Amino acid sequence: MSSIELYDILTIGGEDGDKDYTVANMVEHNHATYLYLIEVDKDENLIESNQLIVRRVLKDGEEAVEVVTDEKEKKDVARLFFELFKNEMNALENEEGETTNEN
Amino acid sequence: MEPKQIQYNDKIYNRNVVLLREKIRDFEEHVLNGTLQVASIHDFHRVYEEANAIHTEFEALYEGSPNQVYTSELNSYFAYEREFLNDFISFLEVFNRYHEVVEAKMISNAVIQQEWEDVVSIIRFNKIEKQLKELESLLFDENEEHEVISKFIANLNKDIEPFEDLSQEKWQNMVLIKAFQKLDDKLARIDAAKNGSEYFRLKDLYATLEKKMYESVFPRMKIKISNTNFWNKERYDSDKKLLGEVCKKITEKNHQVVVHSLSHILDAWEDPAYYTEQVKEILNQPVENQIDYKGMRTKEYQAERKKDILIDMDFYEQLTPSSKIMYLRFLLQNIINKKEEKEFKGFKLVKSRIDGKVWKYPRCYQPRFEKYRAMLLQLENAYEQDKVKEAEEEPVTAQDPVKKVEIDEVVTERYAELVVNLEEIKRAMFFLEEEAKSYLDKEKIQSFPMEDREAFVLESSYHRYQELYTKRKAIEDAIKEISMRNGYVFDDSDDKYYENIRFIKENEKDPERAKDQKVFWQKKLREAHQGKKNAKVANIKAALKIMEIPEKFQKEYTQIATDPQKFLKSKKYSDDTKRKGFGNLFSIFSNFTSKKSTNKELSKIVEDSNATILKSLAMLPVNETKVYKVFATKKVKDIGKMNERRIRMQENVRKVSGYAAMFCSLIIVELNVLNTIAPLVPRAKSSVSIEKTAEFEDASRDELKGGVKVDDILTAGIQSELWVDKLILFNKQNADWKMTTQKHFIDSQMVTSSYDSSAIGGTLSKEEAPTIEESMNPDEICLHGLVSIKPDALVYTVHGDSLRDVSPQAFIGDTSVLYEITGIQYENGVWISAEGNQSDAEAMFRAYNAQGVSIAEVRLVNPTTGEYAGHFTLDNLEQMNVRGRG
Repeated sequence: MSSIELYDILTIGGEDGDKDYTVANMVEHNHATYLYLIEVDKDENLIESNQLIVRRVLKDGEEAVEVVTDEKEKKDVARLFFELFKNEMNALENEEGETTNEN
Repeated sequence: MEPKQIQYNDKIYNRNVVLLREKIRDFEEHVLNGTLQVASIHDFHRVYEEANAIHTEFEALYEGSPNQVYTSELNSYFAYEREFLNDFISFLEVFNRYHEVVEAKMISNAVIQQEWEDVVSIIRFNKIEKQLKELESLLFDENEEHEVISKFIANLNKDIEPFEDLSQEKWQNMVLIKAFQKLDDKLARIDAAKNGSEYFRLKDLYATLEKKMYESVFPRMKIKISNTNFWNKERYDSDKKLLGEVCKKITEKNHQVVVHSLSHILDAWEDPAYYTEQVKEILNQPVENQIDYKGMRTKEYQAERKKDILIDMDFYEQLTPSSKIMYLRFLLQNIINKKEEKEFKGFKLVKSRIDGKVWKYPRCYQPRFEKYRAMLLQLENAYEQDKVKEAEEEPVTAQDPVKKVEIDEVVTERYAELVVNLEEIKRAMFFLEEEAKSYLDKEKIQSFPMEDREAFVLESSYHRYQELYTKRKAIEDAIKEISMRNGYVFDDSDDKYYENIRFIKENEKDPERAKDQKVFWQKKLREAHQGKKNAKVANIKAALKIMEIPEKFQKEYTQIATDPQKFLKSKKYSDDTKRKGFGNLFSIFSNFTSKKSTNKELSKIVEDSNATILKSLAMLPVNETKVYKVFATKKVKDIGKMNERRIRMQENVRKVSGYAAMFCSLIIVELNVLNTIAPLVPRAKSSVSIEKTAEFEDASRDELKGGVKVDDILTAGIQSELWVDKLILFNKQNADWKMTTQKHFIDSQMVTSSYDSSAIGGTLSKEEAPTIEESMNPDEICLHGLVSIKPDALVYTVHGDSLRDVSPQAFIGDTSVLYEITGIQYENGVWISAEGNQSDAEAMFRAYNAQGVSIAEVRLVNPTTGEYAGHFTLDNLEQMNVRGRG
């Protein structure tokens, strides 16, 4: 299984055919790896209306993702992702603040 | 060269004593000059018996000593010989124990010869070391003649000659063994005297050496294994400096041979490949430069490493996966270390789990830390894949081909059996100890001393216990021996090798050298990987045997547990079979773990395997209908593209996170009761001593559309008897979100229920936000707090100015609560209420009491510092003046 890294673009075969998704975030929870995927177009622009939380799996020995459907699991993981994004935002704001102060 | 002649005392002189000394010296001579050859197990036993006979004779001499004076004279007379005999016998004993356990047929003549060579080398080395010491004293003796010293050095050179052909590694091992023994002896002496700093200095040195020994030196020798001590850089530097000083002094007298020999002691501290070159450089440098090496060991470099907590993405992208892992771990470690720095003392620490262990680091680094951690986890998952390993293990040169090492099943089986036997013996010993515990009659109980503790067993079981103990020691030695011979690795030495590869400096002048170093460490890394794998296979097998898993399943389960990824990726088995396989193994290993084996290596390997199995289980799909294959993964290879993607994400992170919030229908209301109250009481800001946070979630707030009804949330918070401190709100239509703090509520007059929702729609600027003092009446705030807060949930903080206005009814029924009064200031030992004097406060509480409010105790807090300042009850109000200090 090859490694999946942040911001990789994955081509996933879904119900509506193949689509490209960027790995917006990754998190480990209960021994599993969850990916926060956002659809992207050919120019890699984000299509915000299509976002997925998936679990990394191996189906028949091949790389696959499983859409998280269990409500509790989804809530827990979404919360973790939210925290990660929030932290990232805070960090960005802090950096901006530092830059302003330096100026 | 002969040891310096000792002038013996006539009182102890007699034929037997002198003959014995001659006998020991002859024996040593035969050992060293090669006339005593040991090439088979038979030879070994012969020499062992001979040495023991001499030793017995030697001990008999001491036993027959009439008094202490005679004993001490014997000590002086036999100083050299005693040391030789003790060392020699102790080495042979270790080997003998090993031979007894591992059947003779498993010991080849080549092995016996190798053992013998090791012993002879060490004995020879002992001798040289003693001479070096003597030489040192000669050199520092101003009166010693140059001729004498030259002769001494010439003789010493002869003794050193046999070592010239030895490999660097072999030489280093011996230096280490000797350094270890020396320190061990010294430590034992100082241990008794407990000589403060010297004791601790040596203890650290000892621990460092011990670790070094365990990592690289022949574990058949006298080794106590301890994983609790780690490399101490400061101690290392200081000891290196001391040794450097010795070199310097001797260099001034221009005796290069001594410098060279002592440099080897320094050498022992270092990594062999690196240091071989370094020693040469040092010897060619001016004396004052000898201690500060160039390159990776310089102070500047260390300092640079220390402050290095920011990832250098350009650099990171150029690394191989395993080096990336090392680099990330290095950054994380540096962030963790930050908490030790002065400027971070008192900072709030947050916890994070890495490798199953909880680490703390300053909160201000949380985003960075979590980011690196996420990257690390992802990489490490990938690392489990053979592909990554293979990429790392790719040889740099054609001269260093990678050999596939087959795991020796016979050895593995033998090892597993020994481990099982050891478990059984330990259990039997434990049983005998437990049996004794139930007896109260002390006379029937006998103590049995062991290295680390004293065991108590019944007199009747004593011999059985002793037998078991001897067996246990023998098996432990045999396990160590097999581990050593097959290169089993139980520690994380591969981490060190990664680091070494990662930090090899590309030497522009000598790229060949850098390449050689890389090859050397890569070889070590491969060996460590293979060693870890071998140890894992053997121990997994042992665990399965201990758990009495039938033979026919053992092989299969061992394969799955050793390489779960292979099983996971296999197309031979269905996902369901894989789930069952992992499930069974998980249950077996969980049962094993619950038995709490005393074998640390085994337990660790089983626990680690179980964690990997859990991960593997999580990799199997649950809901087949929602599983989609990943057809392709596009990775970015150039940095520019990667940055482009990252920046794009960062630009959209607010929106994206809004969607993340929507995934869990999230309205997060972070509540912090005391933090809420504290700002309401301007002078009590620092009195927060308890933090209570809670989450308030509500999925059905469709009113959020087109604006946020914060009042509802606030009311809901109050109904939950919790005060809203921080709200994170988002707009479902555009997924935008905002975080609103308590300060905003106050600023927008929410507390007085005149909240204007438009204020939340846009964030208030500092200029717009009125200060508490300007906008609020503290009395109103306190009154508000009283009715809305559940008293037994917190320590209540009341502003002194408003206390008299508060209805005492609010306190009724809460007699168990400890109240804080923060409106009373403490100055120079006198309590003064905010408005005037202490009697106001006293009168106030008497009044409450009269109205039926039973206050158990009143706590006083300094409102400026938040420190506990004292307490009183109604019974001892009078003592307030003197009890005001906490």
